Amino acid sequence: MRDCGTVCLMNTLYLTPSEEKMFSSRSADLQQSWTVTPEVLTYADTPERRAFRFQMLRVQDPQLIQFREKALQAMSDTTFIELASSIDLTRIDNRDLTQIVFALGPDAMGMIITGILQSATMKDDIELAAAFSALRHGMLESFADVSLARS
Amino acid sequence: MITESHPDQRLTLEDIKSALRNPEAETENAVGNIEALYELARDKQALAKKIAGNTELMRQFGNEEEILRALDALEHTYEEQIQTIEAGKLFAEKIEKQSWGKWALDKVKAVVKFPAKHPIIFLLILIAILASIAGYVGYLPGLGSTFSAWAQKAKALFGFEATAATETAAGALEAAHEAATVANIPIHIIESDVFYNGTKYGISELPELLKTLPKLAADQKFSILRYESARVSAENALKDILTDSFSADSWVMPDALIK
Repeated sequence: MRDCGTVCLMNTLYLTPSEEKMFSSRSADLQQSWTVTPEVLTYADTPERRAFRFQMLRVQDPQLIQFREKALQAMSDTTFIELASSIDLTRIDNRDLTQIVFALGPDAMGMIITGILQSATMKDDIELAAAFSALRHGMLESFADVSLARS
Repeated sequence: MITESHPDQRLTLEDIKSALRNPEAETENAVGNIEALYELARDKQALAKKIAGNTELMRQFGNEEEILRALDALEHTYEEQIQTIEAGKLFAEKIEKQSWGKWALDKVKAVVKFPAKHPIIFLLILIAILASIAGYVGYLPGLGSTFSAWAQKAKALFGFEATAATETAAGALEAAHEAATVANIPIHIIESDVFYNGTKYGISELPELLKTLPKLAADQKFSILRYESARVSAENALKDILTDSFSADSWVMPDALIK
């Protein structure tokens, strides 16, 4: 991805054809000032590939580690929801979040983008979809670059 | 641990497993380990002979053909795993060095305060944190109604086959686990097998096992109602499984549940 700065990215959505269709169905006001760039990169994810990415995931934030330990002992909805509500992901370390996003993979990003676009009513929603589309695009580029370099 | 500088070092199944799954390994080390193993595996015939010359290893592998088969399988995964690690490093570099990276992460962080406007984002992050232990999401702790719809989607995304049999099996095992947990009965579920008092029960034997639980449970004065509800749910699900094909392949339990 060309690093054209936040101003450029704040106006760009990298969308698949179905996502673009969804975006087009939003109000003109929401679509205003956005540039849609077709997402042409793909990655065939599999359970095995996801499993490996999860194996490589190493969160460092003590809060996340503590949550993980407690959550695995939580065997009821109530306990789990209590735990989930106690965690503050807004302060999550960028390196941890980067790893998490990568482990989740491009399909998860697509699911999130679809969910956001389906229910988008505010400009902030489109901006969030743009952020996830940028993350997905960066990830797909990384997979493509590495694949080319090693072939 | 295998290293390139000691190619003659004894190779064990544990070496292979730890090279691929060492929980303590940093990314750099893991790349090194996998690459070193890959180098060793390139000359599979020679490596197989080396392994075959070791009585203990032969006991683990069975025969030379099995060794070659195992090495073939490993070889197919090495290149892909190395690529994944390198792609991860490249992605992290992009996020860190390019201005859009911080911008995008800040947008994500702004919407993950509980209760989240976009529960799927919140949920997926939690799932990823949990999955980093197991390496695979085969079980999710009780996810309340707030997340139930998304949890189903997340289950489908993270490896659950979207077949009725597997979904039913998931329900059966979860219900059985719930019944046992409520009753404080030491049932442990590993993949598709249920362990109780050191004995392994297959999925088809679960109904019989469940029948033995009420008495034990009653002795322990737990909530009969809650137990019955989970038990009935498990039995109903099992009826469906036993009349359908059931693939246990997608079932992996977090290590924390395996005691």
